[in-house]
Amino acid sequence: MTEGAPYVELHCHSNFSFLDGGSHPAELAARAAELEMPALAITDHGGVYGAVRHLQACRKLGVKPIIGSALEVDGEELILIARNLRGYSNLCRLLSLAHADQPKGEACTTLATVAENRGDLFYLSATDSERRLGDLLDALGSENVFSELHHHLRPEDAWVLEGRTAMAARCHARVVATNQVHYHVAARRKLHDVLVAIRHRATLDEARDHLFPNAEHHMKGGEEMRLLFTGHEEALATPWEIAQQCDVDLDFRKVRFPGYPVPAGETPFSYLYKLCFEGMRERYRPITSAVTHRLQHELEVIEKTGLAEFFLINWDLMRFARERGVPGQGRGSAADSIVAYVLGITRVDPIEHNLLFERFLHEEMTSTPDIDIDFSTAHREQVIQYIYDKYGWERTGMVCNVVTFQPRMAIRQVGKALGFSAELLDRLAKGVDRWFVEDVEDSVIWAVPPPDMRPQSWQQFLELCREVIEFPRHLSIHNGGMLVTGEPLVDIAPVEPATMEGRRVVQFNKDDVEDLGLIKMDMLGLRTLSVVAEALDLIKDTTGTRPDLDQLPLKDPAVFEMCSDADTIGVFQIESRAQMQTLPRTRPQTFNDLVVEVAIIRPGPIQGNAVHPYIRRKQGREQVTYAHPLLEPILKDTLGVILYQEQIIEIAMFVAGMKPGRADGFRRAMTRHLNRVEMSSLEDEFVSGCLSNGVPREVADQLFAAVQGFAVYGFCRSHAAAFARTAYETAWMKLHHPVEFGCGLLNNQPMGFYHPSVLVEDLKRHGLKALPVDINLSDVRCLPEQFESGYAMRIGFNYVRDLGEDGRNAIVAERDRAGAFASFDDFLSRLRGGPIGPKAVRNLVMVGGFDALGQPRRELVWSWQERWHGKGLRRGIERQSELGLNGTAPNLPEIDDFDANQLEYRISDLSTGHHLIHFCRDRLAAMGALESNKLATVRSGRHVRVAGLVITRQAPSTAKKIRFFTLEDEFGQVNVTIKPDVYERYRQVANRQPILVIDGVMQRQDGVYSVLAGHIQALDGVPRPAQRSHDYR
Amino acid sequence: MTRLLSPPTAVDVTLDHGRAPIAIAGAFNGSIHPIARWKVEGSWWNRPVVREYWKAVLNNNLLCELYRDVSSGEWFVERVYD
Repeated sequence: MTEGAPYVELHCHSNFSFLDGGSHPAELAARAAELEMPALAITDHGGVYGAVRHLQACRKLGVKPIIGSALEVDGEELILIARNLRGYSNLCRLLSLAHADQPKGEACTTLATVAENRGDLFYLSATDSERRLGDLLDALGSENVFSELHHHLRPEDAWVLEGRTAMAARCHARVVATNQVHYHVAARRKLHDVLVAIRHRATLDEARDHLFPNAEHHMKGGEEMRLLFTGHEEALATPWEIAQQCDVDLDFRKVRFPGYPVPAGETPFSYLYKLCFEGMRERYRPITSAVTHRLQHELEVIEKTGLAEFFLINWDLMRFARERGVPGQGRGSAADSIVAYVLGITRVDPIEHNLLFERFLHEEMTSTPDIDIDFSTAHREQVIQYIYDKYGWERTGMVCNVVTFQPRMAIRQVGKALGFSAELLDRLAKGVDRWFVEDVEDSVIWAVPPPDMRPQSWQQFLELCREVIEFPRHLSIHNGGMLVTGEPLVDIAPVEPATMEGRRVVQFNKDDVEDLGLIKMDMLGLRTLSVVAEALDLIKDTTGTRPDLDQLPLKDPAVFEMCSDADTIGVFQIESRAQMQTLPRTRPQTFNDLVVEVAIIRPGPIQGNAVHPYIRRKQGREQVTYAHPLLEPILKDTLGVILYQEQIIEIAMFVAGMKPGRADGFRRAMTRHLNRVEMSSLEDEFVSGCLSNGVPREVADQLFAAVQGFAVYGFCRSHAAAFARTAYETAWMKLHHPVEFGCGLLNNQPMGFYHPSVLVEDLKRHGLKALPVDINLSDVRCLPEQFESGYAMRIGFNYVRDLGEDGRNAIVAERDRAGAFASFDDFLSRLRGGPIGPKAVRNLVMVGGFDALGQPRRELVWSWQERWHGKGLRRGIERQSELGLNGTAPNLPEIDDFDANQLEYRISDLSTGHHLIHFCRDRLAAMGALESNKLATVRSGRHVRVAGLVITRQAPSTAKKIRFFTLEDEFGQVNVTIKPDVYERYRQVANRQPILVIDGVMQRQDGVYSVLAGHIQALDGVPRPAQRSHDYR
Repeated sequence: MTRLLSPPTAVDVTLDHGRAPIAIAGAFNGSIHPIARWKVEGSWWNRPVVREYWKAVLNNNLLCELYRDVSSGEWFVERVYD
């Protein structure tokens, strides 16, 4: 026994115990520091999900971090604590095994398995069974197993403590005191109870038996523990004894690469060198000295940083994609690299577009650079599978994504635990301002609690909702992050089976992986690439030639004209409201202009007035000047205005004289929230560097202020360039092949800024035709169809609700097999017993799929229901259809245009005929609402009434709670700006009603207009379409 | 046998320096010797109950359970083992 040894908590659940922990790892670490604990363990259920955060938080506070986990072994909880890295690896392996054959999120194992993976682990057991304790000691070693003693001031705790101590003595086991911590302070007990109730899908009353009887599971310091464990000083000293033996530093930099097999006689670097020069010869003709110098420089940096294998892995990935015809391209700062370009990882020439390598990689870089690759969503799975096959399942896993509580979920689940009615919770959750997640209490402030609810309950509810925000709820799979390691993955991180068959998820998220020094490969699914691939195939079908986008000259004036007119619905990156509001002002005329557009026309910079200087200069209203001649080559492309992150690095390098690594560090530092001393130190460094370069003091100060202002908004130029290329390509397709491109867009939903119906309306406004679903002419997907002298878009069966993929395929397969359907009965007869349910049959009829065959829709449905009852059809009861019942329909009213429109909206979510507002036009005219195409003549400052279907609701987080709505009518769109006070007044109507009539004031600038709302009302009496607006933050 | 007093009987309690009860007065009188202590904090969402319980021997011959209602500070004898 060590007299006066500090107490250390070795059994501690954070909120990464998913619904069984009431505090963040950082809160626990901070509390441990307050209580002067020299060390703290984290022991979450079934995993080490919070380990990296725990390590970071503890290190900051000078608390020694200890990594462990609580695992169910033969039905009893066992605490495992890693003594060192080997113990940690054993823990990871064991946790992986424990998850392997369990339902998602659950883990359990047997003592035999624990014993097989023993070594450098301590085990703490709170068993009351002497036999069990004996088994643990035998299997895991008496020097490693400890009997865990608790005292939570429960009636039985005192004698259990004595009994367990005596039992341990009989078994010759050591004892260890822990407080089985579940929250850092007693006040969090309420939240913990709520989480437990949520876990049991019950109210607190119903979950009473699962709750701790008091709040004693909070973190306690030595003094408090000594009072509870009087006479058990040995148990109190043991944690520190254990803690002193633990030393786990999770740094896996040495094993981060899986190794890339290179041909005999080559090293990874020599092979990379060879590939780069081959690639250079393919891409550059002629090869200029600028190209060779740049390539040589980059290769030198890659050799010094030891990243050759990293590039080879990415090159190999792209090679595979190209060979399989999988559309893919690198994004982000990787496009700054000529190596990435000549290896075919990126598609933007860094020489032509003046991209700075140092933003991507430099010699002083300690972290791995990011290579994010976008693949067509429809094909991405092939690439993931390739990585699994290439590097082996044991070295490959998907990075996890921790799903956290957000306001709606918090309101619903906390409210349910507190016993609030479903109706009340539904009302509260739906009223939440989904755009401003931080304002939980503001979001429900408008709600009046039921009169019978105690005020304390309402306050408690709000407080708990606030506390639970950002708490981990469960694990999901990250969109595209893949971890590939040199050592077997299970030695580095526990892995769990994902919902998807054969897929495994690592217990760390993308930030954790980076902090551990591991390599994450980001393979993101980009639906636009699927659209592009499909549109190119369709263009080949209609024209006989598949355009080669790599050879597309990026200088078609008609494309830039279209973009300048904001005719960009469906165009990648420049279709949003904010983009469409600025395109007519900046009027891009070159690819470089488009890069700027992608980089800066974002809500943040616009609202922050960061782009106005650029716009003024672009419009020729302000002279292009440079504060110092050294700035001209750096800022020439952006008319003297700092817009890109790369420019900040270049200014730091070429004006302030910093080395590349320091310049990148300077840029990164400027984007963070710095205190005055830190900022002042940066300023001194920058200004003195400028002075040494002969820049006058006044200019240096101004420049620092400018850099400081733009650092927050600064966008990565290479990323913008990569995206601008895709933007140009999609704009080119929209202009020259609108039907094929439109089909691609409709077939790859959900994606982009707009609902499919908006895309169809846009097509119609361009004088093109969308043809309705037809049982003999539609395909599985929307396709171009010859129409008059050109092509029209035929809506596919993918736009018939309830038909499903099997149903769509069955119709087309049957048509391919035995020709067109001659009649509705022929269709039913040939597809009887197939995968088409009665709802789908009814929808096919009511959307007009059989109109061309001559019989009215209502008559078909009536007679089908009489003769061929849906259930009999579905069950394949042939006889039922042959009963020969009288199927003659009575006189049923014809479907008129309005009915057909409503049916098409309901079944296909779009209209190939009139816009919905067409049918409200008389009423709107009577109300004095102007059509969207007449707004061009309304002068700025005039009062105006507008109306339309709400197609987007947007509240950029940077816009000080100003909302931007877009209304659509049969002629076009209307932009509406809603200030917070107006929004609060009409939020119920504005949020929920599909068709709005808005009175406001016309605001105009450079040919762009918006209506500033003053009064909002719903247009009543119109059948409500399904919720169709796209709402964004 | 154990007898639950319903409602519990209010008593006055004298505490020692460690805040443990040493004597009670009222319906039950005399010196008490505490044996065990525990804490109940329940139903915080509804009708909060926060009590500190003591099991004690009264006058060397009667085992009883008494508690302090933490919100009011009042003491009650709830159960006797007679």
